[in-house]
Amino acid sequence: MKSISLNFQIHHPFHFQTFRFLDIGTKKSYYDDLRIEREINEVATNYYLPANEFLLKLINKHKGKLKLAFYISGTAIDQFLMYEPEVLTSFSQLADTGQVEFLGGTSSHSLISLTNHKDELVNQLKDHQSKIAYLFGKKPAVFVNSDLIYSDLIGNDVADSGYRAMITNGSRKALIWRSSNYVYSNFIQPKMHIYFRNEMISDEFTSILNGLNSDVQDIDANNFTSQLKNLNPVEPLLNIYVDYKALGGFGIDKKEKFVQSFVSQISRMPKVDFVLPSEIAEIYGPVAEINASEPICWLNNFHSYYYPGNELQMEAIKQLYMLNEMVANIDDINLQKDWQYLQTSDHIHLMDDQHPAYFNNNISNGIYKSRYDAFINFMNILDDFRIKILEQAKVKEKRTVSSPKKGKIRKQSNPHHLSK
Amino acid sequence: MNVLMLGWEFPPNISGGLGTACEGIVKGLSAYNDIHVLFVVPKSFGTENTPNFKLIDAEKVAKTGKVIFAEHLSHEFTTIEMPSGLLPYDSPEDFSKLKHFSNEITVSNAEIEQSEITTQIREFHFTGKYGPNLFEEIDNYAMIARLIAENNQFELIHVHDWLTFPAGIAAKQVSDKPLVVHVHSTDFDRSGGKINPSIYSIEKQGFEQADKIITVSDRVKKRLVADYGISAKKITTVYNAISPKSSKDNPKETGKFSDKVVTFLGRITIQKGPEYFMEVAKLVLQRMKNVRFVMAGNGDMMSKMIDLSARYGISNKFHFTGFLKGNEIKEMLDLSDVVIMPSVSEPFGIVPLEAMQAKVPVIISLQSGVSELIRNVIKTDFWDINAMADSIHAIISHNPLSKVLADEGNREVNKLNWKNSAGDIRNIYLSTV
Repeated sequence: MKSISLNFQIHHPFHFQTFRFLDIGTKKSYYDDLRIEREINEVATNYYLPANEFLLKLINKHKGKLKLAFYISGTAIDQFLMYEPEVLTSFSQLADTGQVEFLGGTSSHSLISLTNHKDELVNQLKDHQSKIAYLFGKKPAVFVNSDLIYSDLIGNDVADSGYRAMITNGSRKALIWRSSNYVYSNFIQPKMHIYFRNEMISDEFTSILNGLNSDVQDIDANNFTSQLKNLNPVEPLLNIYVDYKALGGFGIDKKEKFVQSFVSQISRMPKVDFVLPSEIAEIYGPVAEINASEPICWLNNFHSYYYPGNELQMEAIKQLYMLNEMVANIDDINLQKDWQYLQTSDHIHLMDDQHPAYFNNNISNGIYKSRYDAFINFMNILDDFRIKILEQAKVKEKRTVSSPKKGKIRKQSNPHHLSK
Repeated sequence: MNVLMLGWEFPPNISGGLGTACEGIVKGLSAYNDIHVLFVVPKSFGTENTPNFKLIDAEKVAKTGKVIFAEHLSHEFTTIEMPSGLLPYDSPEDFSKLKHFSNEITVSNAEIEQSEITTQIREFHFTGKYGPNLFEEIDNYAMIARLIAENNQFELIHVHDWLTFPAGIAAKQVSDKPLVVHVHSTDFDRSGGKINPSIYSIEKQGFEQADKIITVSDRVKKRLVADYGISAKKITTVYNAISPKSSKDNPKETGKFSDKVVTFLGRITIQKGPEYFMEVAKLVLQRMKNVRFVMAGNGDMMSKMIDLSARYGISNKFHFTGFLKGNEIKEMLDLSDVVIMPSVSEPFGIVPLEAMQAKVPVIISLQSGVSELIRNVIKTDFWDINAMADSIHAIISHNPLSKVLADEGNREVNKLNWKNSAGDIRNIYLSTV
């Protein structure tokens, strides 16, 4: 038996606007709201809503055979809530079929797992978990880290926060000679199962879909499925993990046809089925422990040796998480939101001009003319944020010093007030 | 292949980047055995730093042109000196003010007149009577070039910027050899848009007569296509490079100021955007105390800038050094924590490369040719004083940023060399003859 696990990623960051050092302390917003709204409108209308629609049809048609999983980042969820809530409705329709599962992540596609702030990591995991449970009715059972980052220590921390399995990239750096098509276990906590994204098949799947723009003829899924037939029959698992945007946009009709033919060919194949990530653990046990002392990751068309990044990126991450303890004591909801949005890995990616996110930023009216601009803008925002939380901390300090008095007076003057 | 190259200045007697670029090109070409260059400058001062060059006085040109050619066959580059008061970046108006300079030349020409020279050459010596007419100078340069062209064998003529264009055209007419025009700047860049019609027409004629054109950036190439109506097909961009710094240079001198130093290095003219630098200084000094600004150079806008710094009340933090040369430039760079080039229109811009060599973080305007070539600098629009102020603040505030800019910038600039640029020039030569 061979099981195919089909996973799609949806992530959108809160893009920054230009924030000069002269703007520090002026209450200027950090975000380019117009750009964010435009981007979300665009992906909702031309990508996610129509793709969800045809997948729903397909699930109903294949009655119980087609199974899918989605990872929707915390920032993307917030943006859907703000600008295109019907996207979430559409996803919960998929969830209602019982054939679709949602994966857990960090609260804002953050890089917290690269730091040693374990408490904050656990908080972020719980936060995303409850968000997904609230929206789609089921707590995620399998974890996906931002950019699929994984290492022995990260696997250990994720296990400590309650997950029993996570997906990472089938990077040669970790697998070396091993196949990505088995379940492995974490080096520190063997009960933590690790699923590897099949790099070759996933990239092939994406590139076929991306090639299906309006100029080309329909492509039959035959070639692709025959590749799957050529996989070693002994290997039980195939994890496909791609960006969900590949299914929408230009040529969406052809993409729909391709996915249709792919699914019906698979469903006709003997001894092959679709599986949900949460079911994998029930069916297959780990074949070996995997050793990943250094982080591995997945970045679209980018190498998996990426983290911890260049000097600018390391400095930015360091400066960012130096605020972690201070923020923990802040109650202000807006500042807490800012704290989450500042952590999104995309801001860090733009500090590397070799990174695909940097290139994408520049072709979509990005504000940075070099990776240095990205660093400068980030650090200015961080400076402003630091000042805000220091102010909040002072306010809170004052309140705690003076509050016992006030409380007493209130209690005496209006004893019924508290009981209400 | 023998190349007759007509320039107008040579280090250390330079008033801008052009002499440095010519030196780099000629030295770079010396790496290729099949290219021999005969280099002509209007006036040499005898102090040129040219170990592998021969300086020949102009009178010898007339008498024994063949001798020069024989010498240049010995795989050495030959520099021919011609007495002339040509200065590259001056407008005719400025030229007329240069009486003192002309007098210096008169003195040196006195020696020339004592020696035996042909009357034909002596007519071009203009002893004491350069007068206000720069264009007369250019015509005379052209006549001398014609004489040199008649007396030497070469397969190609290579000229640098407008003052040498008539000379190049004259040499082409005499010899019927192809003309390569090298454009280091146009009058649009130098004048800030207020072009001189006479210079424009000399430039246009040069571009039209040229068989091939080399521009120092795509920015200049576009200018030639858009404003001079030249076909893009005959234009190729070859970026300038920089000569490597010897490793035994003095270690970086620091600690004179406890304040951080932000430096503008260049002529204080409209082209270089000094007033934007002043505005940036004003912005930064509103927020930061530990920083000083230095404007190193001279030019027609210097007194205006001094007035402005006083009016803004920042003259205690804003310094003027006057014209720097040679080692002073290196010392200034070593003192600097940031070098900024806010040029309004910069065909190339060599200062950022020198700063990167000195491991100083650099901010340049996107309106510079060099911004097409280098990556590890901060680039902003020349008018975007907020972005420039922001960048200065960030470099001063974040050590890792300053370190990455210095280190990566240095690594990047060390990869540039004149041999590669000269190789591109050689390919253009080979495709032309």
